[in-house]
Amino acid sequence: MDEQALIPDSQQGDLNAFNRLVLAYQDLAFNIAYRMLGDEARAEECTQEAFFSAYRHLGSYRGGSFKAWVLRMVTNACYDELRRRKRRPVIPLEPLNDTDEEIESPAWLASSDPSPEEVVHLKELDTAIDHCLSTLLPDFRSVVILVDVQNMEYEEVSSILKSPLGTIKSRLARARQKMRDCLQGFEELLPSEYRHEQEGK
Amino acid sequence: MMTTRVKNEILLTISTYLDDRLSGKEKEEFEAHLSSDRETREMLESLRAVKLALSQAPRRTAPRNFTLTQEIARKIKRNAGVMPVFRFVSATAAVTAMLLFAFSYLFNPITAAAPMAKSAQENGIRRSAFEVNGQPVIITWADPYSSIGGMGGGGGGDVDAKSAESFSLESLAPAESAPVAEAAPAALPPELQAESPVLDAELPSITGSGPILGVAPSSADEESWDPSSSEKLPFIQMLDPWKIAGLAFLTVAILCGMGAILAGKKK
Repeated sequence: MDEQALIPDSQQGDLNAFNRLVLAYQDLAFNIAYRMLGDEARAEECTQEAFFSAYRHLGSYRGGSFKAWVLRMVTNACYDELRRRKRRPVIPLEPLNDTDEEIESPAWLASSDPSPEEVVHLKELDTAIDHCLSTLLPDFRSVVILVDVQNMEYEEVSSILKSPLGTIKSRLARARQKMRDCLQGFEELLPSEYRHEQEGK
Repeated sequence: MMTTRVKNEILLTISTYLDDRLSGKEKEEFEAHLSSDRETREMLESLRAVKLALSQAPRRTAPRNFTLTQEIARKIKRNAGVMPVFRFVSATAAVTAMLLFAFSYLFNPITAAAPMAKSAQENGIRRSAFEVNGQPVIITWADPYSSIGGMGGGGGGDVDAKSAESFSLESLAPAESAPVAEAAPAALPPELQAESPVLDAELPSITGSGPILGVAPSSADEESWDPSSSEKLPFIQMLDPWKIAGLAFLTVAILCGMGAILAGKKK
């Protein structure tokens, strides 16, 4: 794919050229949205919204990394969704037990720390990561997702989030520390290197 | 005992070291520190494990294609064309409304009269300077021997003998038709006080509260002034043209702003 050729074509109204760019970035965009929101349906909506927004603002693209430009739309869409969610918090349904009966007073839902019951349910590392990411503030979450989950460079992340390099570094350090504290509750799911380290203490 | 700031700096260095983003000198210094500090080593290893765990998190493929159809693309372009117009009109109308409100404040006859009101207030302060010992100046407009004029009243206890005498002295000041300003009882010269007992005897005694001198009783045919009458102006008369225009522009700004938001939300 010749990205540099597709961009001007898209700006001149070539929808096929734009759609080829969409196909190139949709998986990455969806993954970031999913990690930011922890919800597949919402992530799908935000990814779609981000590509709509990219198409709408193609005229304002002034060169530089197109990937960073598109991913900025994605993170902005996610921030908007998180703000909406904060304004209108969703009340979770009463969880069901093994016999499909509602569990009364599920106080553990309110806690950000994993309770023993929660740990049992969070059998996969993926779920544990989602849980711990959800405990971070959005600004910290986006940095750790882009650097550690998506393996991006500081400079690229700085360009996507429009934040100085120093801010990216400090947010990343604090986010990693928080993630460490949270993931200690899911020790058995973590890579063996981590377990050995904990056992050696 | 490490301070929070030092801890944060060490954490930042560890995190940057993990990504191999320390400069040559910084890296050497940090590695030297690592060999001597167990706590920092443990922190480094635990953050390394977190980084590893996050990098191993499974990747998802998009559940569907997010490509745009011709119809959606047309809609987006149409909305994209309308939205800037709404935004521009909204912003312009808002600025115009603010300017109109500012003009309204500057040129409104009521607000512009503020300096006159201030002057009146200063006059009031000057007038109070004539008061003696906190008592107002007493002005008699009619023959004080015929009756005790004024619109006395008000609450209070009985007037004691001393205050009644004081009152008679004030009231029986030189009988002239022209207004005479007199000082409060305490400021009366002693010779005047010496002449007063003769006159005092002819006066009816006063009981009740002390009189308050003021406006003469109004006759029925006189038109009375209602100080609150200005508040009864219809609302529309209180609005000047600047304000009405400002409100109109503000309404346009709000409506266009809402239009821009709706156009932005439409897919």
